[in-house]
Amino acid sequence: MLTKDLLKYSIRGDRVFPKYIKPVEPHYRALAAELESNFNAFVGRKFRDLNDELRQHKDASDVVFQGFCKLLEDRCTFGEPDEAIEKKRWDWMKAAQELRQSDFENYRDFQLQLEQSFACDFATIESELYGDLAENRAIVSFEMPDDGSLLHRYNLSQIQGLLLRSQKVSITIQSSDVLSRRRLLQKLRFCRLFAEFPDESSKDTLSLVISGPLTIFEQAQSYGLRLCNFFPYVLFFNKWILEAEVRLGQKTVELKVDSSRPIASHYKEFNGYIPEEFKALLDNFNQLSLAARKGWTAEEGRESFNLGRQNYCIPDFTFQHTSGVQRHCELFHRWHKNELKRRLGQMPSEQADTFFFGIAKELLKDPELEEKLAQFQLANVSTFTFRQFPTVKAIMTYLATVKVE
Amino acid sequence: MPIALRYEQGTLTFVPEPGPWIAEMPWFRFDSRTKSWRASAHSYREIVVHAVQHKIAILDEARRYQALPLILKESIVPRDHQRDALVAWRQQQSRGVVSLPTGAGKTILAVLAMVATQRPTLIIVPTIDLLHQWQTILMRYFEGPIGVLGGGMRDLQPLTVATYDSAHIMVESIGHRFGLLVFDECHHLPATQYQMIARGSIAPFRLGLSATVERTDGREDLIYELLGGLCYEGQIRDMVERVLAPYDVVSVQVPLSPEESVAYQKSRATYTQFIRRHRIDFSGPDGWQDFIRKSATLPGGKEAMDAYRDQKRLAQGAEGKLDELWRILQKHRQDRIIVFTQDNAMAYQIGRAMVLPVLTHQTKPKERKLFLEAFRDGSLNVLVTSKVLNEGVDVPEASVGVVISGSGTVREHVQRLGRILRHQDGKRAILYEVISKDTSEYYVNKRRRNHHAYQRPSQVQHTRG
Repeated sequence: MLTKDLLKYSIRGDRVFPKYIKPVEPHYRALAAELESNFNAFVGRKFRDLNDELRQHKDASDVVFQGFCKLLEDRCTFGEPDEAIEKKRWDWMKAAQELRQSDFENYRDFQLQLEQSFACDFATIESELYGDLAENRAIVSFEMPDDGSLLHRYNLSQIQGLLLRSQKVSITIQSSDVLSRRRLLQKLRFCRLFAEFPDESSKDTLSLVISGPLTIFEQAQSYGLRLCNFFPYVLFFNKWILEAEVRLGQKTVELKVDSSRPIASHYKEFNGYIPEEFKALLDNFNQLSLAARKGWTAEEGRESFNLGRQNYCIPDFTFQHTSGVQRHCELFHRWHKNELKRRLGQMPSEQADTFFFGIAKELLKDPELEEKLAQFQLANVSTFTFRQFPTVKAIMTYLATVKVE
Repeated sequence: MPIALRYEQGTLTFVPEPGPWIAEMPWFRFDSRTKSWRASAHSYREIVVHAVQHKIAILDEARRYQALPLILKESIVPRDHQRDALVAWRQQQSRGVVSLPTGAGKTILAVLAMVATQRPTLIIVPTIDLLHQWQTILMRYFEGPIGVLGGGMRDLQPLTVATYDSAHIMVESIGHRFGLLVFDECHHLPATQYQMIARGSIAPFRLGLSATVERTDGREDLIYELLGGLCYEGQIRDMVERVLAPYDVVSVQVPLSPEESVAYQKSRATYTQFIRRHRIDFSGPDGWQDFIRKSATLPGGKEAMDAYRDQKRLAQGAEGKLDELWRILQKHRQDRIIVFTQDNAMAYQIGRAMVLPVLTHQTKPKERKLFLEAFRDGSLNVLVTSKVLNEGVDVPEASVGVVISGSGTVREHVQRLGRILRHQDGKRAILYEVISKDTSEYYVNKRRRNHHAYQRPSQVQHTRG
């Protein structure tokens, strides 16, 4: 992350415009490569010496140069200070304390006397006395960035530096990739953030307004760091827009950035896949003559739902009746115990009618879950159980109970 | 099924959703993000009292602590002002802020408040040194382990001391585990991050301690909102000799060397010309921001900013100050002396030149403890520091303070003065202010003297002026 003095932006009217660098700009690519190589060359040596060398660079006063250095410093690990220095410091300090009990016209005379006492040059004492300060730390290792990634990281940090001073962000993502959207919603909980889905969310558009728990009460910026940590996940999508109000000094300005900006995420890409069984179930269902006769078709769930209490979901399947009636199905396998616990008992009544849950029998061996499930069913939310994977028949049995006009 | 009141990430919610009576609870708002009613955790006390008064059956699942029997291992005979402050705090339903000068025994007052409250307590302090100091004091007065959050330690106990930073990071997971919060140096609380500690905690009992509650930005009102109103205030001038050591303030003006003077005048001229040309008004609240913005964007701005830094550095770090400091050290060879600087660079410059111990945020926890112990037992009689000793650290043996450079705020100066005012029989404290002659430091020093701590010191002298 960049400190405030390293942020580059301009303010025009009520808007703030971060200043990016072009990731293909030869000058900055060369500078990044040069600095990366400098940092790498100083592994095993003192950070202060590297700093001294960097200060001599012709671009040293350039904020981009300083920003690169800060980001590269964050990739260094430093050694523990030498304990021998601490011991020597105490010897010198105690000797100096004794010597100060005598009369000296000025402190230079005192230094001369100290030189004689220790039979060493005062310049040596002066330089070694606090030789274990952070600036004198040795660089133990340096994590070399991938080619060109420092420029992206710099651009990302420019935005994060502003998000740090915001309390709420609006994000719109256009993507039909259900798995990535689902992973993004999971990261909300991971980053301890709350979200609201404005009405404009649709099957291929996910709109979120993200903030922290206390944001509805206070005009506080305390969740800025969490918003910064969440933002790189958004960058995995090809099309996105982010809007935020940013507090800069006494002024509040609007930040608006989108996927046309030259920024890439440094996070590990979302992993996982949708197993073949899901597709097979959809195919089987849609080929089932009974389903066709009853007017039902199945498709992959794509709509995003806020079920309350930090339960955000994109159902596994959506079943559509010719009358317009829809039912969304979520499956809970044996490894979804915690997700199911969260979901049970917290289903808002206005959405309870449109959902039904498939639950692995294995999960019902947990008495706590079994009890919660009983209460859940009392609240008129439909469930069915399965062993390995639900069958088309089980789903049709449920759909047969749905009232359609 | 009764409705449960639950703690969730610094807030309170009901599960399942409450009845229409929720409309009578002004602390709750409907949170459309989570489709639930939500209140800030610091409203816990009012919510529970309201529910009891209106016979609303709620199951309190928010509170994760019980009453804690706290018995003193050794008795405390409170001084008059401590007893009065405790009574005043109790009369405000054990909520409120006590303002007492450094050395007047705020820590002991907090111990008495803990005994009176009998609840698990979280004490929040601004520095690692204070963290250790509080832990030592609590271990002296109470049985059982004392938890620590901060400085790389994470041990949560019914009595725990935390730094503001660690408490802020952890408040969402510990905000329901303490019944009493003690904010030491509570003038820090209005900072955006730190407010969250008070807002995200359910503790019904709260005590704020500070020598200087008032803030230049006027945000002390926020402290009173979150902790309770000011319930007791004691002034330095009323406690000198009875509770605090009598003291002198000695201002020493030292001339700049001819070379320093030329460089200072040149930088000062560049800086002031820019200010005048662009009509930057430092008397307004946005003066500094205006200077930063204009120096970053207008022609000549970079030179003006560099000049501003240069003239400040020259005034604060004048060579003559080191000579003067040496004279003071020689004069007070038998005394314990704390030397204060504005920044770490100056502190280490002094430390290196005179081979003195320097205590800054860079000093490792183990060594900072050793420095303070050695200073207390006299094996080291001088400590140089920038800001970490400004607040709260108890060094009663210190009787001489030397301010080589400072920020110019009244708060900082009163705090530094407080370091040397702890009462000891026969002690008379001296605070030296070493100022570069004919520089802006003179005016900054003059402005500071408006504080009441300066209105009636035992003696104020101006020398070499």
